[in-house]
Amino acid sequence: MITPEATDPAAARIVAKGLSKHFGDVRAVVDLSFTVEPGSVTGFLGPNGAGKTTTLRMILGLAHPDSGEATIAGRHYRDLQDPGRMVGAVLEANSFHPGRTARNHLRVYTAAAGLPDSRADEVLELVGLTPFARKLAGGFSTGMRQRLALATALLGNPRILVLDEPANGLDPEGIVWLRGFLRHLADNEGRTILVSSHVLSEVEQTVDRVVILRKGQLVREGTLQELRSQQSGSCIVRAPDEAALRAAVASLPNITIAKESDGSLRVGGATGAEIGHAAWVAHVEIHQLSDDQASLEGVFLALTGGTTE
Amino acid sequence: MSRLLRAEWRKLVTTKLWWGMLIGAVAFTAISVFAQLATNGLKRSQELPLGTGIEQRAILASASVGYIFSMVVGIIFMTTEFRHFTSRPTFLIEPRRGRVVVAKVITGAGLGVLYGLVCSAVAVALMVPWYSSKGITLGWASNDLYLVLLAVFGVVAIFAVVGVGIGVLIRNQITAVISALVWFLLLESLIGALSTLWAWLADIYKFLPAAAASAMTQIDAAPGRGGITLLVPWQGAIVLAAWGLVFAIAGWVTLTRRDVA
Repeated sequence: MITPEATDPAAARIVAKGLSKHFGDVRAVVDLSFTVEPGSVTGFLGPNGAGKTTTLRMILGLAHPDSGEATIAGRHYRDLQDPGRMVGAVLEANSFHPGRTARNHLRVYTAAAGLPDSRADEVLELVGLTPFARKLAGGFSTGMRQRLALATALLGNPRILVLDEPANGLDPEGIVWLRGFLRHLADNEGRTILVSSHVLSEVEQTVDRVVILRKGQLVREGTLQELRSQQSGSCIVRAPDEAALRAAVASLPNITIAKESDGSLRVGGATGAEIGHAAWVAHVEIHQLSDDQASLEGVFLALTGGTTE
Repeated sequence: MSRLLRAEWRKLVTTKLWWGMLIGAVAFTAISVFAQLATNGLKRSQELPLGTGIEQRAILASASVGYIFSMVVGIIFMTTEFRHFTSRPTFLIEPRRGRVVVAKVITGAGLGVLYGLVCSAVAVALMVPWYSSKGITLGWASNDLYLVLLAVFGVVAIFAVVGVGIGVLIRNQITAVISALVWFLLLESLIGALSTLWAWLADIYKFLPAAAASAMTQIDAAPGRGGITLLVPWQGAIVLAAWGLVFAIAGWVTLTRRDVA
C-alpha cells in the first residue's frame, strides 16, 4: 500500500479564478471563481447543464477555458509533476475499452503512471471488484463500471479526488456504499474531494462544503451549515384549535402561514421560540412545534431556479 | 517516455485488435498472392510460366496489399482512445498530449514491423513451394526479389504509422477508417488514371501515399505504372513515412488545442 506523500496540506487546494467557457452561443461557464479547501469534501452542485462537467474538465486540463484559470496546488493541471499521483478523477460516461479486463485496464494506467502493478489489485480490492478482475469491463453493470472508474482514479493514491456525478446510475445500495466510501476517504485519509451532483440530497450526508452553480455562474459557496442557515426559518405547528393558533401567530411580523396536507400549519418567517411564545401568551394548546428539516433541498432548488431536472 | 511506451504496449496486447486484424492481413495477403500465382500460371504459355523477372517481382509485390490491414489497425489503435473515452485517463495521467502521440506512433511502428514481417513471410511461404513444384527458379538475387521483399515489408510497416497519423487527425473511428479506405482504394487510383492524361497531375500523383507505396515495390521504377514515372523506391519510402508523420503532427497540433471529449 502506498501512503499519501507527506506534503504541505495547502498543496491540495483547488482554485478556480474567473473561469469562462462557451460552446457556440451557449455560455456554459461564466466568470466562475471558487476554492476547494484541502481536506474537505466539497459538493459541486447545480442542475444538469449548469456547467459542472465543463468546469471539472477545465480543472483537469481536458478542456481549455476561454478566460480565467484553474489551478491545483498553485499549478495548472498540465504543469503538475506526476498528476496521476496527485489527482484522481472520475468523469461521466465510461472510460474503458469494453474488450479489456478490469485488471488489464488498471495495469495500462499503473504502467503510464509508473506505479507498481500490484497497485491494480489493491484498488480492485478497495472497491470490491476483485472477483471480477479478469472479466471484460464491457460486461459490467453500471454500478461495477462506476467502481472501476473509482478504482482507476485511486490508482496513484491521490490527495485530491474529482468525481463527476459518481452516484449516477447507481442503485440505492450502491449509493449508500459510495457515501460511506467517500466519507472514509475524507475522514480517515484526509483527502480533498470535489464531488458533483445535481441532487443535493445525494451528497448531503457526505459533503462539508458546497459550491452551487446555476447557468454557469456561482450562486453560493460555503459550508453546509451556512446553507442550512439560509433556510427561511419555517416551522411545522400542530394545534387542536387551528383558528386560535392562526390568531395567536398572526401578531408576529412578516410571517407566512400555509396549511399542510396532514392538517398541520407551516409557519414561515419566525423561529420556533417566537411561535411557541406567541402560543403561550394566547393560551393556545399546541401538540407539535418543529423546525422543518426538509427545506434544505428547498433552499437548493430556490438557488438553482426550480426543478433539478 | 518509457512509461508511456509500456502503457501503449499493454493497451495493444490486452485486446483482440492486434491478432484479429493480423488474421485478416494474413488471409488477404495469401489470397492476393495465390490469385496472382494461379492466374499468371494459367495465362502464360507452357514454356515460360512465371519465369520472367517482372512477373516474379509483381507476384511478390502483390503481398503489399497487407497495408490495408496495417493501416486500419493503426487507425483503430489510435481512435479507440476517443471512441471509448480512454483518452481521459490517458491524458489525466500524461497531460502533455504530444508525448502520448509520440508513444502511439512508436508503438504503431512496432505493430507495423510485425505486420510487415508476417505479410512478407506469407508471400515467401506461398511462392517458394509453388515455384519449386513447377521446377522454376525464383530469382532472389538475379531478379532483385530480395529488394521487393524488403519493399513489401516496408510498405506494410510504414502504413501502420500512416494509420496512427490518420487516427490522430480524424478522431471518429468510423469516419477515419472509411475515409482512408475510400482514399486508398478509390480516389488515389482515380487520380492515378487521370494523371496518364495530364502531365502536371502525374507530377503531383507520384508524391501521393499510395503512389509512393507503389514506387517502393516497383524496384525497376523506369516503366512505372501505366506510363507514369514513379519515384525511386527509397524516395517512395521516405515520402510514405512523411505522410504518416504529417498526419500525426497535424493531429498532434489539433489534439493539443482542442478539448478532449
